[in-house]
Amino acid sequence: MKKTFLTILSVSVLVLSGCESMLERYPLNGPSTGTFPASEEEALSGVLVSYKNLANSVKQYSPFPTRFTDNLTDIGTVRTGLSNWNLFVTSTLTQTTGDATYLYGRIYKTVGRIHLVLDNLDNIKDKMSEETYLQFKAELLCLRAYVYDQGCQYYGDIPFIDHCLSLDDYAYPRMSKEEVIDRILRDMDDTMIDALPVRWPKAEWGTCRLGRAAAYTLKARICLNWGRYAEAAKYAAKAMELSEGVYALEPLDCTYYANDTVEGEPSASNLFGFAGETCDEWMWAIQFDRLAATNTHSMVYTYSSRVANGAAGCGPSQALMDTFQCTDGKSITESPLYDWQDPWNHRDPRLDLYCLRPGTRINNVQYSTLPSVKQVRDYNTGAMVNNSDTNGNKSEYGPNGTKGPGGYLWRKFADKAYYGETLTTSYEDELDVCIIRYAELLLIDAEANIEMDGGDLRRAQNDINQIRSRVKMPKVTAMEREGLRSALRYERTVELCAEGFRWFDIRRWKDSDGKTLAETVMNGPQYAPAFTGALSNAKPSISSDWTVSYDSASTWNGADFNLRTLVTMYYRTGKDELWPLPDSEIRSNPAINQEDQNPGY
Amino acid sequence: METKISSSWRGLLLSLTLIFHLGWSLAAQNQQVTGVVKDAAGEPLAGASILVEGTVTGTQSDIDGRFSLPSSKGQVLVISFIGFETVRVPVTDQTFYEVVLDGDANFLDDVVVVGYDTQKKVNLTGAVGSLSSDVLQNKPIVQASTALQGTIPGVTVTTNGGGPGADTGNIRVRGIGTFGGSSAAPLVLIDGIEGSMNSVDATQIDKISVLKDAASSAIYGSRAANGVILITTKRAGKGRSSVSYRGYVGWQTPTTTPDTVNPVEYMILNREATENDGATSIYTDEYIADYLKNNWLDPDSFPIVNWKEHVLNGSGLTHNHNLSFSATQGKMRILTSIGYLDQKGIVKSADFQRYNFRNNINVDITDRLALRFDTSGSWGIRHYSPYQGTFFSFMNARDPLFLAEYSNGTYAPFTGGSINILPMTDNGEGGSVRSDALRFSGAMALTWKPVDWLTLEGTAAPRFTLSYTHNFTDLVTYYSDPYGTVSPIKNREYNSLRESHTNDFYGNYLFTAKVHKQFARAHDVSFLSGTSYETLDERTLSAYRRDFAYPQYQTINAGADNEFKENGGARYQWALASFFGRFNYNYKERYLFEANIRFDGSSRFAEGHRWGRFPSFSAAWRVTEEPWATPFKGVLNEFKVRGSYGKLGNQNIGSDYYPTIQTLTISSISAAGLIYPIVGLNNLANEEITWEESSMYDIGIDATLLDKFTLTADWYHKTTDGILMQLDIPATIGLTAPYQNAGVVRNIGWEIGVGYHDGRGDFTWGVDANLSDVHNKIIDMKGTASGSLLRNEEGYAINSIYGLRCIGMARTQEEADYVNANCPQYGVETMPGDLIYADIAGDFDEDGNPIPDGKVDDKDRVIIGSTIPRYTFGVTLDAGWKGFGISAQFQGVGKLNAYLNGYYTQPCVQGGTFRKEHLDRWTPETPDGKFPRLSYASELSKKNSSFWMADASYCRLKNLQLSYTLPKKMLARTRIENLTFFANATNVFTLTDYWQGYDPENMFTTSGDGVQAGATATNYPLVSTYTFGVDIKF
Repeated sequence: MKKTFLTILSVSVLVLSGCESMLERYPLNGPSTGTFPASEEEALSGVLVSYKNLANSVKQYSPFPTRFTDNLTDIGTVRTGLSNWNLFVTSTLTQTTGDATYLYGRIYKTVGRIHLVLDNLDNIKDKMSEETYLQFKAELLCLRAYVYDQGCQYYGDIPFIDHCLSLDDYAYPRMSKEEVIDRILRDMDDTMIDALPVRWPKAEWGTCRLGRAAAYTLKARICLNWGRYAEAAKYAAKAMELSEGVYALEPLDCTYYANDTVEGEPSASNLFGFAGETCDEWMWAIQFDRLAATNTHSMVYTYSSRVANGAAGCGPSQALMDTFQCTDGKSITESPLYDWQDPWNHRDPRLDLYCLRPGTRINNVQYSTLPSVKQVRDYNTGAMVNNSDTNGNKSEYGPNGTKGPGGYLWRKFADKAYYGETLTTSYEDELDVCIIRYAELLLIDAEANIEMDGGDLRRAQNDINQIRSRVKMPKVTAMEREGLRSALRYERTVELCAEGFRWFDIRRWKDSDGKTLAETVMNGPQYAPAFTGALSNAKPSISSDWTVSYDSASTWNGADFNLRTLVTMYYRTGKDELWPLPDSEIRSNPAINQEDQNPGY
Repeated sequence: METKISSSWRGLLLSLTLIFHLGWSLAAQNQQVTGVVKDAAGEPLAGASILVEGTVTGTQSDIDGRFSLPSSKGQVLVISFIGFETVRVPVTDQTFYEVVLDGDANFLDDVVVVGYDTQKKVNLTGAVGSLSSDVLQNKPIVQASTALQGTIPGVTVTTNGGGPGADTGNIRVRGIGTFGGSSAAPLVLIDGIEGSMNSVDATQIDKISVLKDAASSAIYGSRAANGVILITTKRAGKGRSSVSYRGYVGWQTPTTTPDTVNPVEYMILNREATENDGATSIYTDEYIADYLKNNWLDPDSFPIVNWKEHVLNGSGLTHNHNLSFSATQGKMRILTSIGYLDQKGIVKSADFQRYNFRNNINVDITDRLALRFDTSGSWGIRHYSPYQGTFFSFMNARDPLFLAEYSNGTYAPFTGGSINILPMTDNGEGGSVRSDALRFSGAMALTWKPVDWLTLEGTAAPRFTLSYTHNFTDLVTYYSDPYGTVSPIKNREYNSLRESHTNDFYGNYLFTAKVHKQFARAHDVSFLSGTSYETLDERTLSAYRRDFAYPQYQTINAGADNEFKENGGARYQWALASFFGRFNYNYKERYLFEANIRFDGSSRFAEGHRWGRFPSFSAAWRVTEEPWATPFKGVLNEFKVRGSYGKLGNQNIGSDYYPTIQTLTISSISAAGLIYPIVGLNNLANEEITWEESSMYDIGIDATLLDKFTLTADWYHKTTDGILMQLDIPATIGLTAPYQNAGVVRNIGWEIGVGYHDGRGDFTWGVDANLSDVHNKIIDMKGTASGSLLRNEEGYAINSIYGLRCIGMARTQEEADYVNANCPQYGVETMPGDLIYADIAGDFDEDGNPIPDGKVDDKDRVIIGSTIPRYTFGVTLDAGWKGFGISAQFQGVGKLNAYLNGYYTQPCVQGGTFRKEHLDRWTPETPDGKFPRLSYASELSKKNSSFWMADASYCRLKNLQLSYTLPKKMLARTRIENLTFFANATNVFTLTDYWQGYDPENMFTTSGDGVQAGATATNYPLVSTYTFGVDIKF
């Protein structure tokens, strides 16, 4: 018995030791980490994955925050009840508001992917040419700078991570934003950037990869954002020099605007639509394509009107509509051309090119928010169709103009190629999202020269006038700093509307009293036209910074103020300059405690 | 034997001995009678009680079944043994009696299945709940998992919905032991082979055992932390051959549906809300009057839809048939069983069919060598609409004013995100999903008994599973004008088909050796040791095409061969190797002891963290087996005290097969219309992770009184340590958090089951009741907390409900002003009719105690309720008279909170309608209204708070059954052995305070191991089923 037992025991021990190999199972579906990247090809796929991650920064009403944040300012509106976006304009964000903390995680996800390649790049330096090595490095460091700049804008001080982290190495405190900016500008070393081609071959890469001109523009943009005007001017000039013969403003067709829209449809899709993807104005863009997995967004659906099968999710505010100058270059309160009962006539053509207002058409279908208009014409077929923007099915919004946020929508990214497509929330849009275009470079150059001491004001004026001429607006004649600053702020507000710059611009720009614009414009009611669809009779006052304010006693016709309040905005100085760091970061990062949270949260 | 009894019992013993002697002296002792007690199989029965009727003279049979006692002619010996029918033997001149005891019908489950073996119930030292086939009999059970509901103390079953083929139950044994990455589902073994409970036809089940404590389940080591369910299927007995048929037919209806407002009420409430928001509503009184008038004249402009009518259009017809053949011939015994189930939904588009067979063969090759060869297969086919969730969302929460169908019968489009579901519910348009699950399993076991005391058994039990999903989403045409086809609109841009196949091969190889020996007729020793090796190899393959020109041809090849086609495939594996052993010892079946140990090695963990060791010990004392207790055996038939301790593991860490290895993800990016490959890292891996471990203490008693009352009670204390959690890591790492062994959860509970069965004449009656409670608490989460509505937080139960504590409503302007002045809420103005919340926290003092900060915001959220059912109970009443039987099973939960929000219960949520009860809301005229003032714009009253939390405790008549078995006499002339007719109703009525229209049992959707609140309102409703059936045996 004892012997038997011992035999069984020893056999068991033998079998046990053999068992380890019986229990080895390895993933069968792809490589695992270890020595990635091991070759130039692998390094390239690692560089590209960092670009792809920018596309993954798409959040719900995407692309977020690129573009969407304009709807969280004075010039944009979000449909009531659409998610929690009103928290952003009523000073009610908290550190658990996912929409506000989402970006933080995305920034470090991109940073992590960058480091996966960057940390190992020196080990495989001998497996590629010096030029390729520098190019990869330049691209990765510029991308890192791009996301860190974004991080500093929205969160202020942020941890500066410069290598792959692990479970044993993750406690990094916040670094002051000034230091972060110093670091990233140092990273974007000129000699390294110079290794990049001015522009990556269009046929091969489109606008996916950062070229030399775009990299300098990015550098200039970062400098401008943080008030380093002289450097901004220097890099902008460099970028403009490189752009010569490569990048240029794309002409815009201003045929159909104002009352001519009955004849045709205003469209800037040659610049902002699918055709824009290959135009020479785009310098760098996030790529979207249905052919690549999980590489779509739902912006077009969110931005489109309901007759265009969209969700009418967001659009310009009444304030932005009133910002657009008359064709004489004067504000609506000053220009003799303005008639409040015929408000769309004699206006900056960009009003109709960039914004969708009742009375025009979209994807060749008439757009109307008048409740009495039950059917509208579909110019593609000539048939009358149900006016879903006012009628019928989404009864939860009421069968009137409440379906959209404020009666106006964005037209900027509308493209007739989407006609007939049933857009859904399930991310089927593949329009690329432009991050840097040549017009912005001109505006960076102009602003840097206006704000820096001893800047070239004539150069600034010329930059602004190039953009104005494209849409047949009269040239700016002002030559002094204040006049040009005013012109620049108008131009940046109007030209770059809905492209995601406004949120930070109003926190950066100060008025003549030294207050940031946000403190003024983000307080008080945000208005939209009445449900009846009546034209606005509100007579606004327009500041030299081209911000619009209303007094409910002031109307064009002396009758009762007829605008409706969409939301009452609230801005707390000392809090709302920034978004909160995520709750999870405070709980899990030993180097960041609740005391380190941004003030007010 | 008396020598071993401790001194404290001496006094009692002395008096007992006196009584004995008194009895002996009173009886006429003219002879010594001897005999042997055996069971029907001829095995000697030890411990049977032998009493001389009318006296206190008695003894017990020894280990060989032998007994000896003084008696005289004419007296009667009463021989009884628990689980057997009592036999009375008159004493004659004969001095030796051979007594054969037949199994008692009341104690069929005398032998229970335990890990790798069976055990006499009375000799169990652990906490094992068991269920025999008669409990499952005659119930229209579609999914075997639901059969356990309310029948075994400590076992809770929740159902996710009543959808045909998807109406499975979630079983939890003794609370929820884990959260986060791991599964809390018990291990299910069908005839010893791991499987899904729902793949078994309930009529093929013979016995179910639930191993609840660590001592009983430790033999299954690493997978037993959440309990083990052992299912034994029916086998042919050693009797004559037979054929039996059992079938039923019935129908289903939803248990409850929400009452929503009518169109006029909707418009009035909508107007009130719009006006409260400072805007003008188009629903003026004239408009409403117009609407009602014109709904008859011009329904295209003034539509009204009854969603319930459109959605609940299925017959709900269900029928089930089971035919089994049992044959015994010489050394062969075969039981073949085939079953068919057809279940139609309460919505037309949903149905389920299941075919299954089982063939259990036993061959006694020689006296010492036996073969068991089982094969079984099942094929389930489930159909449903891809829009099914939307159907119920519309039925439960959408308003009636949608323009959905024109008067000429064409359908109108809904713009934006919503889809007009009418063509889908009315005509089944929009495509359908078919999901097939095909399972084959076999078991071949060879048992060899080289000597009497040794049994060797080797088993190979492979299983092959094939699942297939066919998801065709078709185009639906709507018209944007009522007349003609000027402008047809499609619901989507293209139709598409996705087909996916998964096949897995599960290999299971098992070897056991059992030693059983008795020494000195008192010491019973058995020893079991074994080893097993399990492997899983899973492959997936999927294909997708869109743009089907001829949607009636639904194969991948019929779709367009364009750039949108997709395919995918992957392969996963795991392996588990185990060694286990059990040692049992009992002294005269009086003192029982058991020890188990198991070693498990899993491929999911890295070398060095791979092996787990899981020991357990248990002991029991059968007080009634003490010799001095013999006189009481007539009253207290059985009394046993048990205690156990053991350690268990859990390796079911999510769906991740390789959690310790960092893998790169291959994907692609486009540039200039070209596709480039990209490789990225998404997850951080942790090589250090290993088993979750649970240790459990259990103390219990089992008692039987007067052969009529049974009682079983247990108290347990279970701690699960090293729970795998994806602890938050700083976002700065840039990767998804890995699993870490970090959490600790404690479950402390008790359970009690009582039974009473009696009869008089032709009447029999009985009651079985059970009640259990568990107190669940997260002890350690490394200081973290997760979840914003359902929350895991230290010191509270898993999946607790987290929100503001509502302390009332501002009924007047003064009250609102007071709130705004003293404790502003979320920075917005509180209006009369808004909810008021408690200000609990803002800052914290040094001890971490919250300090109210004079305002209400997210920091004031606290744990307000628990989603772990407490005081779960079941009561079964049955009675019989001459072949008639009635049985009623009540089941319920005594304490439970649930959260259902959004437009399912709240007024003024975008996209929703109002519930009838919302009519009782705050208005200046009705300041005492139950619900807050109506407002679309204000979010204040819609915050997650105790106001919207509901009490989901309930008591329901789960099952009511009537049956009639024809008397044997009537069948004597026929070849029919048994004929029973039965009628059954499930979910007959429910008492609950839960939200009207929603079933309290259907309150959560499981997602992994967590639960999601609210999502369930789009679930297929639970159903009541009414069936009639017949059971016939030849």
